[in-house]
Parts: sequence; structure tokens; C-alpha cells
Amino acid sequence: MDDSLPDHVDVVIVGTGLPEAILAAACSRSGLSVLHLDRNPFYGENWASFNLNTLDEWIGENKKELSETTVSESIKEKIQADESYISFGDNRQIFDLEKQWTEDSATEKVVKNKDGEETTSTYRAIIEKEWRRFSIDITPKILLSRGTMVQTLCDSEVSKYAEFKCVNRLLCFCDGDKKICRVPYNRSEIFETDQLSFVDKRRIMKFMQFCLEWSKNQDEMKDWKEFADKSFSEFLATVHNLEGSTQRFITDAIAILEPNPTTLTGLQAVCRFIDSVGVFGPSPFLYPLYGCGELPQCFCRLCAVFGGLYALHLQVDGIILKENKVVAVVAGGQRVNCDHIITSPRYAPKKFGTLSGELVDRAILVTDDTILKEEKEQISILSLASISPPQCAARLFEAGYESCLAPRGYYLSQLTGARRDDKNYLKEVEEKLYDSEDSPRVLMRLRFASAAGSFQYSEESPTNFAVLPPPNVKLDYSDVIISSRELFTKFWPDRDFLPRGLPTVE
Amino acid sequence: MHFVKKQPTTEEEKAVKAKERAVKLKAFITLRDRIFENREADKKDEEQLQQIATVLAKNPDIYTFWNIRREVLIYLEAKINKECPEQSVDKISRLLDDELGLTRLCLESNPKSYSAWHHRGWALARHPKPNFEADLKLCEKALQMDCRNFHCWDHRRYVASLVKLSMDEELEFSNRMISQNFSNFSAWHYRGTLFLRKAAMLGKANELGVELVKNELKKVTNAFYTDPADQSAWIYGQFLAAHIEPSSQRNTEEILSMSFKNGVATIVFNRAQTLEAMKSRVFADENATWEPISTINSRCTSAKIWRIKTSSFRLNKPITETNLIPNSFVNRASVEDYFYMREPTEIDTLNESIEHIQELLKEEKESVWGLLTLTFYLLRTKPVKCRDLILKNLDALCHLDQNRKNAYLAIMNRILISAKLEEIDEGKSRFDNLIETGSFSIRDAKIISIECLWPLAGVLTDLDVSSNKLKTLESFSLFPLLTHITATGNPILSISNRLNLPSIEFLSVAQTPLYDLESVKRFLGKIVKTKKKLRLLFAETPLSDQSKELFEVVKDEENIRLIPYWL
Repeated sequence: MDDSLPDHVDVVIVGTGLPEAILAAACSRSGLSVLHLDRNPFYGENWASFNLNTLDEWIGENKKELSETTVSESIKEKIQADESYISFGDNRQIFDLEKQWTEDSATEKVVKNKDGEETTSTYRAIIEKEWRRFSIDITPKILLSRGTMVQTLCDSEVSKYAEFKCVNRLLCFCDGDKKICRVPYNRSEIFETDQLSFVDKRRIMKFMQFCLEWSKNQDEMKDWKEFADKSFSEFLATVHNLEGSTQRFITDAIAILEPNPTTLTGLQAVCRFIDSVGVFGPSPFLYPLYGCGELPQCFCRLCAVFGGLYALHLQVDGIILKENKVVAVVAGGQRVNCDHIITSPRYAPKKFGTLSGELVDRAILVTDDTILKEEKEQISILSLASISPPQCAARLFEAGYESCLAPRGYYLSQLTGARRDDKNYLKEVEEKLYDSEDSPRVLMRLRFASAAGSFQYSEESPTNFAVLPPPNVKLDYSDVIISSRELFTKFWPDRDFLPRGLPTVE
Repeated sequence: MHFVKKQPTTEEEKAVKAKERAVKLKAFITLRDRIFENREADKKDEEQLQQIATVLAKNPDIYTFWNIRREVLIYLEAKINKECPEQSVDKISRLLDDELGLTRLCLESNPKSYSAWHHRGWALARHPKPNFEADLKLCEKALQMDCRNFHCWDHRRYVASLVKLSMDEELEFSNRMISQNFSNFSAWHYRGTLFLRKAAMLGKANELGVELVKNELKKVTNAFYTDPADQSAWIYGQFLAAHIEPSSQRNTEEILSMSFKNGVATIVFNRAQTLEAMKSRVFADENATWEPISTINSRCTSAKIWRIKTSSFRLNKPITETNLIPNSFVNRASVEDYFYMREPTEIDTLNESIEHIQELLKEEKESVWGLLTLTFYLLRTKPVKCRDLILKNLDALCHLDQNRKNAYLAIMNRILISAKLEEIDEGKSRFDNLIETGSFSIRDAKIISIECLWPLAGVLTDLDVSSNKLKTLESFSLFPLLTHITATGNPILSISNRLNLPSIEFLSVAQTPLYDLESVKRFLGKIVKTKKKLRLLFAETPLSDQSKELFEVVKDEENIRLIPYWL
């Protein structure tokens, strides 16, 4: 196979995380020549999903000491006299990694083998034997059925590369945080549920109707403007008589897209939620089968279909500049001239800027049961708003075999929350959730924090160089699409961003 | 292909399309003709089936082809049975499996094709090894796509009856459908019929029982609160209220009122009777004339009210224990029920539901269905105690739901009349007086029609409806015994051509805006022909000053007296 890279491309994209993949697809789709590079041997960077073994490899990589980069002689040769060179960064994105098999995982369990004989084995051994069955998201998020992500997937026909399932259960704490219960959020569930009194059923439906109206013409609606900047709870209690756990259903769960809301942002979140209900099923949320790591791969595939060139597991060296403009990259010892360079935060040279420094705390648990048992296996989102500081936006995502994330009978429980005041609140929440006797057994636990925030460009950053944002704490993908599209439109204002495909001729 | 804008359809492209269509049409016609030729030639084979399938797959609504297809299939079935009876089950199964496949294909593109659904049912019923489970599943899937496709509901019910699904399985199915979307009257209705069937099996026709109704009311109340604008749950709620316990009016046939005087029997049944049914219930002499009475159709063949001219008269079944030839009779209990004059024997099943609806109406002041159902529940349980509230609700409904204003007014009318019937006058209720003397006075009671007095047509002879809101006299025809009518002070404009008052002696239309001279002339002309006695009072009407023309009509008649001015 010929390993040589082309001499010139329009765009070089470094890092195969989701925003980079989307941008690569957009460029390639629009007719630009794209070279997409990654030091990792896998697609997706910190947007990838791993099985148990590759997860360990990823942990190993992220624990390594970072080495100083040196500029070799062979690179120096490629730089002309009026040009300068700067190495790509290797910025740490994952912190405080901590993985352990719990005491429970050493518990013996009786299992039947193929011949029906009973043998005993520890949980750990059982799970490790099925390492392939896991698909563990580094960045779990959901898609909003009528959100920008789904729109982009459909328009660009990337959707045909992946399959999706509805997140069928929305959970929240009720009865003074003692119990987890299912949040009724559409007409049928409100009709069926025992969680609401008759009167509350009416009020919650009325509130939903109000939101539908509000999303159409909020300027003409009465009774909300004076609350716009006040707390959403106050508005719900005063204007809609929604109190107690019924109010919680709305603030914590139905408005989950905007944690810690004011009346204005809360209403916007509820509207986005309602708008997506009933599009692909009763739930407004979709989740990709085999995990979120599918999405960057799908976009990379689209990029490749339109001629994008891929080189993974490659030494990605640095950038050549001329008159403070990017003119080429050096990768795998070769010089590739280009008009634009776009990278993920990992590769950004410090001289060009740094991330604003926020962190997202994460905990990934393998459990032997679901947090709320029902007849069928469910894909759930549990709002943790009421048991953690509201600014944390903490939540739990749980799925298992049916979503191809874990072996049959086991679940992946994914906790996410913003770090506030340098404190990992998620740890406390996790302990609270799983310490009682009836709670599922935690078998394996992985905790870490991932870099979030926005990239702050320095004055020295060239105008044809850009950095896409790292994963943020938000539940859905809309910010990712927005930032990719913004950058695309900034660089190529006269081109369409992933336009709808032409109808194929019969 | 990039950056290529889609061109709008041009004339050229349109021409191409038209050409394609012409080709298709030609293909269809060729195929159609061939199918008919084959039929003429009695060719019943696989090829014919194939041709028909091709046409039907494109358009499953042409039932002629389905019929031809069935002819072929029946023939092929018989052939298989004759030629290789030992393999017939397998062979016929395969044959009919193809039918299921074809209908499925047709229904996927056209889920509302009557012919395709029918053919599917036909094939399934004939199938030697039918897979009903699969069909039920298919129906459920189809209903998930369109939960109100009544064709699919029909087919499913048919399959369920073939496979004899248990009532509980079917209830479970209805539960599933309702929990998916309760705005589905097909599902509620199916539920209702299942409960009634179950009750009938236990020997309780039309009676659901208190416990069941309570449970169902809970379910339905959830729907009321979740979406009060959805009518399906309200209608089911009303159905429940009507079937808590059997109502006598609905179940048994009975006489409401009757009389036999001067060779004329007038009988009112609670249900319409045909002449044949009448003759089995009533013995009259051979030359008797039988006249059904209805305001809707003067030439009707069945009616609740019958007027029989006969010299002898006897009922085949006594109304009271001994009385086979009652001169005058009113079925008091039933008539009182009809007029909501009695509180039913303790129905407290609905009380909780009534409270819930009242609570809901506090939040939903303009819910027509809520107010209407509440009113029905009150009428069913406390018609006397809550009469004022009921009237108030109905009045509110008239304003909220103008399209059905007259329906609400009709109920109000009946309640207003019942209030009058109860009124005590000179130490006796007007109802008692009516039963004894045949005369009834409803003055100044905002009545718009007297039609709802029909159960008393067998005895009513003298009616005073002065100062009400009657616009027409037409419904007086329902009361063949009326001799005296005082309709003074009503907004009557003319006398209907269809007005038929065989016993009339006195009619007052005084103080009305009656101006239609021709209509009065016609009416008088009819009276003249019958040579009957009549006093007609029309003082203070526009006709008072034109009475000359009317006197002209009756000039030689001694029996007829016109009174244009107060005496």
C-alpha cells in the first residue's frame, strides 16, 4: 500500500473527534480536498466508544507522561527560508483517571455453560470473558429527534450508516429523593401513570399546551414575561399551580436539556423536548446502537465517500507557517501543503491558545442490574438535579444489552456532571445512588474528568487555523453541530454546510 | 452532481410522464381484456391468477377482479381435493398463503381497501391451516401505524371470532390500544361491547354491574383529565353510565298510555310498532282501520302511536292484572321515568365521577363534553334534586356549543314540561289531573315544542300551551285525541299543511303573529270536508282584519265558528 500523502490538499483536519469528523464530512461533501489525521489508531478521539480491552489501552495512553516534542532534522529540511515551523501540541484532555474492579466483582456467581452444567465463576471473570460485548462511551450524549444533529444526519444521509433506538425511559427522584420514578411526559404516559393526581394530570397537560403556544408566539403570551429571569420553579408554582413532584418532573426531567433553568431557558428547553416527542416514537431522545462512538465514524465515512483521505495512527508533527499564515502540515515525515488547518484541542499548539479550563466529571459503572426494574430492558436517563448542586447538570444514562452496550444481564451506567468549585460532586452522587441494599451491584468503576470549555485563541494564532471545541456537559448534540457549522461558514461563507443530498434517479 | 439545482418539471418532462401513463394504461387494458377473455373461456388456472394479481397489486379496489379470482380459487381447490386428496391440505394451504401474501401487499400500499380486506378474511376462513396468531399480530402492527383504521378493526374482530379469542385476551388488547393512544373510540367501543357480551353470558343483558363500572370510570376519568377535548372517552363514559343497571325502558316493550272511546282506540308504545306487530298485540274487529301516527312521515309503516277505529277492542296481554279493555290507562312509572320525575333507586356509583367532573370543570370552564357528561350523569342519578342545576348546565351548553343548541333545548323542554306536570294546582298535581281528565295546561313555561308529550298521546284531549315559544302547530298531529287546543300567545306564523287533528273542536291561535291566510284557508277547507264541529279563535292576529276571506271558505257550514275578535 502506498503510504505517501498528497502534496497539496485544501484542508487538513487533525483529530477525529465528532466536531472534526463533521467538519471533514462537510468540507469533503462540498468538494474540498480533505486530509484527516489522527495519532490514535482508532476513530473518535474522546468521542469514541471502547470495549473492555480497548478501554484499558485508552486508559494506558492517557496515563502516559507527555514527552517534549523535538524538531528532527528531516522536518527542518522541509521548511523553506521564509517559512517558520511550530509543532502540534499534545495537550492532556483526560484527568484523574481511576479504574477499579469492586469487591462485589469478586463475588462468585453460578453460571450454566453450553452443556447446561453449572459452574461458579466470579463476576469479574464472567464480564472479562465477554469484553467484546461492551461499548463504553467516553462522551455519552443523546440525539434530539427534531434536533440539529438528527437533521444533519438525515440531510447528509449519514443516518444510513448507523441505527438508533429511543431512550424510552425518563427518570427522576420523587417522594423527597427517596424513590426513583418514571416521568410521564407525553399524552399516553400522563393518561396511564399513577404518579399524578387527576388534577395534576390536567395541569401538566395544560402546561404542555401552553408551551406549544409559547413556542409559536411567545411575545403575545401573557403571564410569563415578568418571570423570564426568575426561577422556573417559581413560575410553574405561581402561574400553573404545579408543585411538589409534579413540578420536579418538569424542572428536573422534561427541561433536562437546560439544567438549572430560568423561566425563559426552562420554557425553551421544554419546547425543544416537546417538539421532538412523537417523531420517531414516544420518546424525544435517540441513542445510537453500539454507542456514541459510532457517530464520528459515520461522518468520517461520509468524508471518505466524497474523496476525503484518512491517515490514522500517524505521527502528526507540526505546522509550517508563512507570513503568519498556515501553508502546510508535516505528518509522518511528509510535507502536505494546505489552505486551512483545523484541529481538536489536543493538537492545538499552546502558542495559538488554550482551553478555558472547565472540566466534566465522569463515572462509568458496570452494574448487574438496572436502577429501576421493569419488565423489559430500558434505555434510561435519570436526572440527578435534585441530589446534586444544580449547576452540575448531573445526570445518569443507563443502557445494556438491547443497545449493544453490555453483555446480557449487565448494564452500563454513565454519570456525567460539570465540575464546580474544584469539587467532584459526582462522586458523592454516585455513592448515594448505589450504596443502599436494593441498589444494583457495581462491578467495575471508572472515574475521570475530561477537558471542556472553549478554546481561547492567542493573538499569534493564524487566521486560517482553527480549533474545534472539546465535549461539553450538555446532554444533546446541538452545540456540536452549531460550532462545526459556525467554523465552516466562517472559512467558506459561500458553500453549503452538509446540504441535503440530491434525490437519486431511479 | 454537486451544486446542481433541481430543475422544475418542464413541459417536456410532463409529456414524457403522460406518455408513460399512456403505456401503463395500455398495459392495464390489455391485461384486463385478457382476464375477461379467459373468464369467458372458463380458463381457471395459475396464469389467470397471476394476471389478476398483477392488476390488483396496482389497484386493489376493483372488486370484480377479486370476484373472478375467488371463482378461480374455488375451482382450483375443488380440483386439488379431487385429484390428490391426500395432499390437499398442503396444496390448498400454499394456494391460500399466496392470497394472504397478495392482500398484504395490496393493504400495505392501500390500507383502506374494502375489497382487499374482505378477500383476506375470505382466504383466512377457508385456509386449512390458518395462522391466526400471525394475522392478529399483523393487525396490531397495522393499528400501530393507524390506530383508527376501522377496516383493520373489523378484520381483527373477524379473526378474533374465528380463533375464538377469550374475552380477557381481547380486553388486554383493548388496554394496549388505549394505553398507546386513548383518543381511539374504536378501542373504547370494542371494550364496551366485550363487557356487554360478558354480561350477556352471565345472563345480565345490558347490565355491566357496579364494580366494573367503577373501575372503568377510573380509567376514563384519567382520560377526561388528560385531554378533556377528546370526545371518545366522554362518549364511553356516557355509555358506562347508561349501563350500570338495566333500564326498564330499554329492555321491555310496554304500553305507555292508551284509551278506547267511541270506537276509537289510541295506543302509545315505548317502541315503534309495525302493523303486523300491532295486530299480534291488539285484537280489533275485521273492518278496523289502523293508522300509525308520526310527525316525521305521514305515510310511515311503523310508529309508537297507533289510532285504531274498531267496534271491538281487546289487548292480548292485560296491562293491569285483570283489565283487558281499559277505557283509559297511563303507565305512570314509565312515563315518570321518561320525564325524569323520579329519582332512580339509589345510583351512587356515579357520585365519585360526578365530583371529579365538577372538579375538572373548575379548571376547564368551557369543556362542552365535560358539562354535557355531567348533565347526563345528573339526569341519570338525581334528575329531581338537581333539576335547576341541570337546566343551568343545559343553558350554558346552548351558548358554548351553538351548533347543537336545539338538541339541548329539546332536553330542557322535556325537563320544563316535567316540572309543570309536577306542579300542584288546586290541591292536585297536573299529572294526576291529566290522567283523570285528559287535560293539561302548560302556560308560560318557555316551551318550544310539545313533541315530548308523546307518551301521553293515548289520553291527552285538552291542551293549553298559552304564552310559550311554539313556532308551529305541526307536532299537535301526534295527539289524535285532542279536542281543545289553546295556543294563544305563541310565535306561530302559519298553520302547517300537514297538521292533522281528527278530533279537534276548539283551536285558539289568538295573540299570535299568524299571517299566512292561505294556510288557514287550507286548514279550514279540510275541516269542512270532514263536516266536523270547530271553533277557531284568532283574535289579535294579523288575520283578524282579513277574516272576510276566511268566512268565505266556511260560509255554508253551521258547524264551524270563526272568532276573529274577543267576545
